[in-house]
Amino acid sequence: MKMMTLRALFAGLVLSLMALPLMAAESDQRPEQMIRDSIKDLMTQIEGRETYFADNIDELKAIVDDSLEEVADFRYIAASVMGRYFGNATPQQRSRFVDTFRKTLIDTYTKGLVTFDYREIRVLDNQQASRYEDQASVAMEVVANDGSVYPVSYSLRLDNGQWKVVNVIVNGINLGLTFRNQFDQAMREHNRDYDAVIDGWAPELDVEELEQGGRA
Amino acid sequence: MAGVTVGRVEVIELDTEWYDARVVMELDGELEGHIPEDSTAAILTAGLLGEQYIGLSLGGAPETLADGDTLRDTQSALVLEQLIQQFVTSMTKE
Repeated sequence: MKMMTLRALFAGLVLSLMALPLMAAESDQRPEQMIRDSIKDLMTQIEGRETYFADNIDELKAIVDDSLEEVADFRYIAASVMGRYFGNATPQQRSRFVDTFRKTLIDTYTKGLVTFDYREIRVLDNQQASRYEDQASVAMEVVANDGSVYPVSYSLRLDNGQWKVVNVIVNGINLGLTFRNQFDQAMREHNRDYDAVIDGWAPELDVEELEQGGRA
Repeated sequence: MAGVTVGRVEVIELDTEWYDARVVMELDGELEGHIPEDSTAAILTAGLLGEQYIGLSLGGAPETLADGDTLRDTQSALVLEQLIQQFVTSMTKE
């Protein structure tokens, strides 16, 4: 009887050891696959219906909203954008900013999808292995109609076993930091009036600047 | 940080596994437990052509960094030569 238990334990141990590399490989691949699926799913829904969506932008917004809901952690991103001002904000102001930030970002992104002339969004096949266990980045390229290639990288964070996008780097420009600087600037202009800053929030993305890029 | 010097760069080295730079900084001890994990380290330039320094911008995450931890969110330096090159390239395209 005792022998049985030991053997079962041993078998269990061997099995779990064998499963270890599998699990590691899986968690390495998961963020990339998740983004790949998400983009493919979104593109399939848009493809061929660009003119329809240009006239029915709200429908596209709903699709984009659903798509981002699954992959992005808006609470985390919004807190990060508020940065040093997050701590002194009331719970109401915090959740109001999450909503505003999310809504305005989806508006901007949706408009970009119908106005920016891109040929292709591709997730790169050769992804760099993750440097940290609970963080990953997924490298992509957006190819414009004129052939220009813009590198885009998603930063993801492992939270309760779920990978979520928490930042985006476009052409070397850290968008999370750009928005944080924008929030900081607005807080200075409005004398740290949270409600005024939240009410007036609109993401300022300079397409030219993104095209010019940051670093190499 | 906010224009105040809060530490200094100890080491700048090439990480040969990833071929990017790793910077070791010594920060004031009173900041321990006050830098959220989603804070950003950016390479900035003092003045138009001045010296480069590392600017820290605080995030909003509840977890904070302790001694020996890594700032994972970064913004690399804007290289003037590359900006000019990109500008020239985009000019000649038009």
